Amino acid sequence: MSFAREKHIAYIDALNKKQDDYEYWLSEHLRMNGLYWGLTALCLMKSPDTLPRDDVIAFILSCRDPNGGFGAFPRHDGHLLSTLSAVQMLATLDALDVLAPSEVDSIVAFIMSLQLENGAFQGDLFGEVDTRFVYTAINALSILGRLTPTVVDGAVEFISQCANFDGGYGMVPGAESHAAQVFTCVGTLAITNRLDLVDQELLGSWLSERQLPNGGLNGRPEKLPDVCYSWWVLSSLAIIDKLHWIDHAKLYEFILKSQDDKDGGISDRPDNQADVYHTVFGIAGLSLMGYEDLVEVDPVYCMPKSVTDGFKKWPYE
Amino acid sequence: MEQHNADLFRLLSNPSFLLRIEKFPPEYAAQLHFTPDALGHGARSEILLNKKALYFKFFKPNHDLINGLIGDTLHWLEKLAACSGTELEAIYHATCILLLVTNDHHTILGVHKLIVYQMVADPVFIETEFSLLQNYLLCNLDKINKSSTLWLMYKKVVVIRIANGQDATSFLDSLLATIKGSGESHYQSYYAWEFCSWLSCLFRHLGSTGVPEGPRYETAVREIYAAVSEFCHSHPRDHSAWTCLGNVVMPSERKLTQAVLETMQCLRDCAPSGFHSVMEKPGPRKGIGFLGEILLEVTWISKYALNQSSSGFIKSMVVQVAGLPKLLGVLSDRLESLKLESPLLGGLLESVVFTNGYWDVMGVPVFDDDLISKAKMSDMVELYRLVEWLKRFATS
Repeated sequence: MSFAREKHIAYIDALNKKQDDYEYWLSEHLRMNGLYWGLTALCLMKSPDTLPRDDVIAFILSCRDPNGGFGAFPRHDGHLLSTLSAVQMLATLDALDVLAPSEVDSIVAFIMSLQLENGAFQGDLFGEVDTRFVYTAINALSILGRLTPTVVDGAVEFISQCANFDGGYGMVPGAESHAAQVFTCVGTLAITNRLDLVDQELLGSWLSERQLPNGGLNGRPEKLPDVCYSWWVLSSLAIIDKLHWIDHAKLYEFILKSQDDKDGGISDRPDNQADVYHTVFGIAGLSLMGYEDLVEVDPVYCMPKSVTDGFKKWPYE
Repeated sequence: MEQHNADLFRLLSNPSFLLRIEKFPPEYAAQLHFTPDALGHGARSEILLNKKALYFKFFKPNHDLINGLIGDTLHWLEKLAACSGTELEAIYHATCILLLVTNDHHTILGVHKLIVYQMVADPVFIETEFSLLQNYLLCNLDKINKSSTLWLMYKKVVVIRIANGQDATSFLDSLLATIKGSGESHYQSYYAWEFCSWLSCLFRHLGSTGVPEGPRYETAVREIYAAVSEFCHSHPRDHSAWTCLGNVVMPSERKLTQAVLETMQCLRDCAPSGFHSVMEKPGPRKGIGFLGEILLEVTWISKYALNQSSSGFIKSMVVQVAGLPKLLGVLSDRLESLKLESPLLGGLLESVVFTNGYWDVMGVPVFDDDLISKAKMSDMVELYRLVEWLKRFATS
């Protein structure tokens, strides 16, 4: 089986043109994230122009919420998840300058307003608290070059509270280790230059155990493999310099088997329905392993490395 | 539409119903149908909803209603304040139905929460919201029953009920039925078991605050232990349930602190102020002793460890539920006796090396023609890996 690059490009291109399909409207609240997943996958496949740059930027700007963040869709309330996706896409398209300095200030103020006293972040005023949102906030502020010692110190303190005995991290202190949470915690510590806090041998061991005999990776012990963990697990291993601690050839085979070789796209596991979320994380996993002549992905930001190389690194001079 | 919404809402929030959403139902309409209740409360009706009907009959008109409201830049609080009681009820019903389809729609969640917070003083409303969320979390669709946002909303409503002066132990059975039912629907339900960990930590905290019902909360923690332990032993590979069991019998200080913070976070902007002070000023935390139970669990874990070749789930239950030295001793003894039984195979363990984070077998002969030796070797290597892994923690 070979990598169906052209079909994947066509699959992503078609997603935005299905406005007559009721599923399109059911996923309206995920549109900003979906666009980020699609654009990133296209960039990694060296096809960034498949989605018209001006249209993408216009959509992003149409989702600005007066409260400072970005919503998932025009007129939706701002949320950290959609705000990060918006900022990531503007950076990828080299279009951060479409934001006036005062607009950047209001985005930064929105993000910072969601940090709690213990250093954690809530996603919005609904109040969901999770290490995902710490990563989301720190990532977005890092792209904008607006991290501060107060924000960083609180975030690092909270993340360190979420470390578990097995080397992994959970969503809050004392919660079960989960590979996606591991990525968000290790990613935050990488951005804030505090990887010294990670027990890298123990975590590497826990992550390497996520590989199953069929080559796929799971997110927790005893769970089924899922292509998205090709990103969450692999990027975490890459960040702690242990990318070689899993069998690449077998994972490559698992990801390719999860492709829809007829209509394009990648699913969570072989023979399931493809979606753009699993498509980007499958392709990003392949990029990390160096397969298929893909653009190099940054394991911390899940964006092309050529873009993230330009970000200001913490601590700032 | 409003009448349709009200009718559906009455069904969805009725504790006598179980909700099922079918992707490919035989007919194109919402319908009712009866099945025995899986939770053991006797016959319970089942609401069967067709996904497409849910979209066309309920999602689209409600989506249009909410979209009409978000057309201006007024803050939601101002918009809701301008609504009449009937309008507010219609918006509330719309958010309830939309959350059944798009449970992670942040705008809808925000509006839903604001309305609920406006109604905290109305016990009937809060009770109905509680039943609605319970039905959602017991729904057959994983997308709904494992939703982090719905579990958080459920947590908020539990806190509101306690803050309103209700004795939480009086509805503990309902809470445990939701946790276990959701855990049955979705294997290793991260949010269901995390909710349960929070609940037991909260009850421990309340038991130490000097409130008159304190002793009842201590008893309730034991009831949670009994329910979770029973679930764990009937689902021995459910890693999330075992992690929760560890948090119930021996929560860390940071877990307890986190539970209090989460409870306070739920109370923001909505609850009676008196309860804040109860949460903020606990007395010295009284340890609820589980020594006997821990020893019993370790005995069982030892049996699981010896009888099941995969060790993935055992690791955390051992360390979390404690009893590590005892278990390590049992397993090491077992490994030694296996080596004595089969010295040839035991000798091959010398070729197990730690590489790339994993104890791997290097250069072991293939046992293709000798299935018994192959199985024995596999068991022995798994046991060896487990013992080596546990030794890391025994010395730290």
